[in-house]
Amino acid sequence: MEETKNKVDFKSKMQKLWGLAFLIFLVIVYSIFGKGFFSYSSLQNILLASSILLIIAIGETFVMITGGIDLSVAFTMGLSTVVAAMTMKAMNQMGINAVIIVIVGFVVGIIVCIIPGFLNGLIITKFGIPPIIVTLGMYLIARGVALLLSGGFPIGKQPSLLGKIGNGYLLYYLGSKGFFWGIPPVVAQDLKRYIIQIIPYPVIFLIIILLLSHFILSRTKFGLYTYLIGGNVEAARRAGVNVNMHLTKIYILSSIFAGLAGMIYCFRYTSGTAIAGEARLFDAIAAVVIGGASITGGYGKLIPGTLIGGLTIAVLQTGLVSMGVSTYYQFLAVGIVIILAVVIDKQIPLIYGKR
Amino acid sequence: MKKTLLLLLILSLSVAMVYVGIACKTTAAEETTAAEETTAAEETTAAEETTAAETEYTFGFVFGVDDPFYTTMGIAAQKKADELGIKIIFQTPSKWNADVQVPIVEALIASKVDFLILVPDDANALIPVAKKAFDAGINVITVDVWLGDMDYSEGDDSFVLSHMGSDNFEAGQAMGEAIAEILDHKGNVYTMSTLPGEGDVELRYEGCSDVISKYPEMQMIGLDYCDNDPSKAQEMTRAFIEANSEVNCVWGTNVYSAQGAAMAVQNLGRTDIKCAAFDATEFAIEKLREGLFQMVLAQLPGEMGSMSVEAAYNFLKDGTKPDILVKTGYKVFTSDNVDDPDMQQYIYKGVSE
Amino acid sequence: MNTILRIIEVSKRFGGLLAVDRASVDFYQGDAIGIVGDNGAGKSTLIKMISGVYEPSEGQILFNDKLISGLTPAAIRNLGIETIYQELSLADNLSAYFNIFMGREKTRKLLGLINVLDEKYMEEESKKVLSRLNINIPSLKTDVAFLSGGQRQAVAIGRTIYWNAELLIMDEPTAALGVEESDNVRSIIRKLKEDGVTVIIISHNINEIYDIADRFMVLKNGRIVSVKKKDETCVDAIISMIVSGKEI
Repeated sequence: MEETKNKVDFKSKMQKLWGLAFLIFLVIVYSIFGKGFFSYSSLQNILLASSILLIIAIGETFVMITGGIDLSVAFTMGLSTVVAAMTMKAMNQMGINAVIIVIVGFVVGIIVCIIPGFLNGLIITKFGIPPIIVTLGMYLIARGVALLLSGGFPIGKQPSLLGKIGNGYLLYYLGSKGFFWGIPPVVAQDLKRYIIQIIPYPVIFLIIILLLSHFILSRTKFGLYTYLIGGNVEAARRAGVNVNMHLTKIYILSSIFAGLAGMIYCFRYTSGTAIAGEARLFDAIAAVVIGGASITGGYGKLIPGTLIGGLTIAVLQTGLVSMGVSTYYQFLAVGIVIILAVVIDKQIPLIYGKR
Repeated sequence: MKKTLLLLLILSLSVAMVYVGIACKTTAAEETTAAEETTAAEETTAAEETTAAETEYTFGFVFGVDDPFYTTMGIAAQKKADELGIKIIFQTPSKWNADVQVPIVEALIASKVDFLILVPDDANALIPVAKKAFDAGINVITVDVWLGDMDYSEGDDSFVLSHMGSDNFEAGQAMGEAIAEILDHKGNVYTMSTLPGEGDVELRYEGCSDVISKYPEMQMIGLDYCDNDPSKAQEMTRAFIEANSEVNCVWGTNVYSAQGAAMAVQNLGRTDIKCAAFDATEFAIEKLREGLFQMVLAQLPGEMGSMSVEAAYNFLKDGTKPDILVKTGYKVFTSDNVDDPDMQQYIYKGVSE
Repeated sequence: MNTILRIIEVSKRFGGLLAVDRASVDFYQGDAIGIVGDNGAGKSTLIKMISGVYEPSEGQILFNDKLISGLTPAAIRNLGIETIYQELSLADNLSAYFNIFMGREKTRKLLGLINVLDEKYMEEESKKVLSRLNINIPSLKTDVAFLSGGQRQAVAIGRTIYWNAELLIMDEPTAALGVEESDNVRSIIRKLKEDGVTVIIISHNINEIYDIADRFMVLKNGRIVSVKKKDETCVDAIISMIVSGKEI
């Protein structure tokens, strides 16, 4: 009996450790061989670069723990940027106060995501069609709607406050002049090089969302039912859990996270476009898998799990640039890591006699 | 079982080290070649230039996506860089997407390059990060695609030193004239383009339309977007031709759109439909020889590449500002001049050498 | 003895197939009855009618003198009839206490605002109920996937007891277990009887349940061949009845 407990503890320690160890290994390698990799600004950039990817991955984690998958997030994200940007552009042309525009744009961008999420959940639960197929269909539908709304054009002419928030930092430091909160100090061009920027707003946003989500997943009934449905959906039903309602909520949640990621896109790039999220879907799923979630459901964690998965991908991609290496190696790198992650993950339970 | 896991861990770490090793070797190889050429260049130039070559600058050059147009640009840029003793880090986004390109630029900023030459994937979305580069002391020149509205004299993008690219409108007009000639001033023209809102290809289309509209018996009857994917271009062109009886000419606004559109015409066996292309890849030239294309317009990506590197170098060396807008030219290939020896240099290189 | 469940002339038809044919039997408090018979004898169908998965085509089922035939499974469970299926309805990826409290989790307010799972409470209560059944699982936090077959069975039983089942139906409880573990399960069932729980056990192996059952019901082709007290019969006789379909 004691033996079993020790084996199980060791197993979960191993699982947590190897991902982190690999990430640290990568950081060391790139710091040695890359130029400018191991600097405060570079490491901060990695967090920034991973923010959109990680937010989508958080939503995807919830879905994958239930044993499903959501492919539609790629274009739900684009749809949200398009709707938000169009709204903000129109309001901007009307000369409305910038703060109001930004808030309205944000809210609109999130609310529009409820529709595809709800439809996903409804069709999956009521008609029993596999999530991969339903969300694939929604991927195409969201893409079509986003393209139709925007005419395929990226939407610009946004209020400049948007970019200031998206690219702003909480704190600035200039050696000779000290600390500045919220707004960068106004200095001559040649001095600008020396301003140190501390904690970008999108990263703060990411951290808050990540901590909230982790709390929900690990400590609430909602999180528990997510695992339960992924573990044994029949048992959940027999126990009286409203599985259909819960799954619908999960898919709405996933779409909302796509919307949150879309809002970061809008704020950082002061632009809305249908294809905003296209490149990130695959990375997000990879992040969840590398983070240790099981494709068949029931297992997975946000912290450390998906967080380490997302950071690993961001580090891999950024590190290669800092080494001046062709971007083709990126595909190789991420692919190898995904396979390694899944193989090692499968090996550990086999050793300890999982049922 | 424990042994298997251990073995696996060692294996995976080895694999990781191997690929890192390959990556390192590639970088090292590039540095060695650059170093060798720099030495050679030093030996053949005057003493003053040798002194200048001692300040080794590193430039970051970010392309739009992977295609022969940019490969050609890169080759010329590297050549000019070798001449001037500059190291260039080339980066290619895997997709024509701002969210992919921005982290690349940010990583270059962090590695403290001395200058940034950029083909923005989104005219608006790349402004903030380009500004970031400028604020970090890295100056910016755009090539081929511009930021904002191409006017760097004022506005959000006024920190950009220069834009160097084809006069897309004029080139589009040249395309229009050529098509009018080919069709004997009579007929319908179908256009395959890349992405809506992409300024350069939009101007090409407008230039072409501008000319075609002058001829009463000619019409632009369709414009589609293939997302820069040749197979999509092929599908859409085929669908259009089958749905519309009177198509007399098909042309594409860039490498992949032209390629796909032409393949559709060829596969349908419609020898009555004439084709023309923007961008002189080896494929396009081959098709020109075969008679599928009647005209191929070559932009001068090589010039964009070498001019931008030179302008950046001069700016860093003594503050000489380049012209705020530099229009590179274009050359027209037809069946008449396709074999001319002095035209060969304008064909795009498919693979970097 | 207190009669808690009565099955009166109950039949079940599936299209042209008569799965259960006019079954009548009473069940008593604290009594353990083993339902035996070959495959297709109707054992499964009969208990599914008790638990509400199927509605009888004819006849009535009364629980504590209340008509329950026709109620939903959830309603019947709320009345105190629990079923443990062969695959146990456990979530392998969750701990023992989450399994015991499945669907009825206890929460507490964090900072007076948010409802958070009260894991400490659930773990404590689970410990109590399992020790009542004389079961010792060292760490209730581990995923049940890592428990032995017998321990998993114990968790499943613990779940029904915690929620005060009066009647517990077990479908092949020892089928997947080894000798020692089967013994452990039988001990648990003995303890349940002491506590006044009525237990219905389906088994295809008479020897597995002979020790702890008080009565045996033999089914063949949907009909109840015989219901005998243990002192009225023996293993060989029961086997004979299973095979021949005739009362001995």
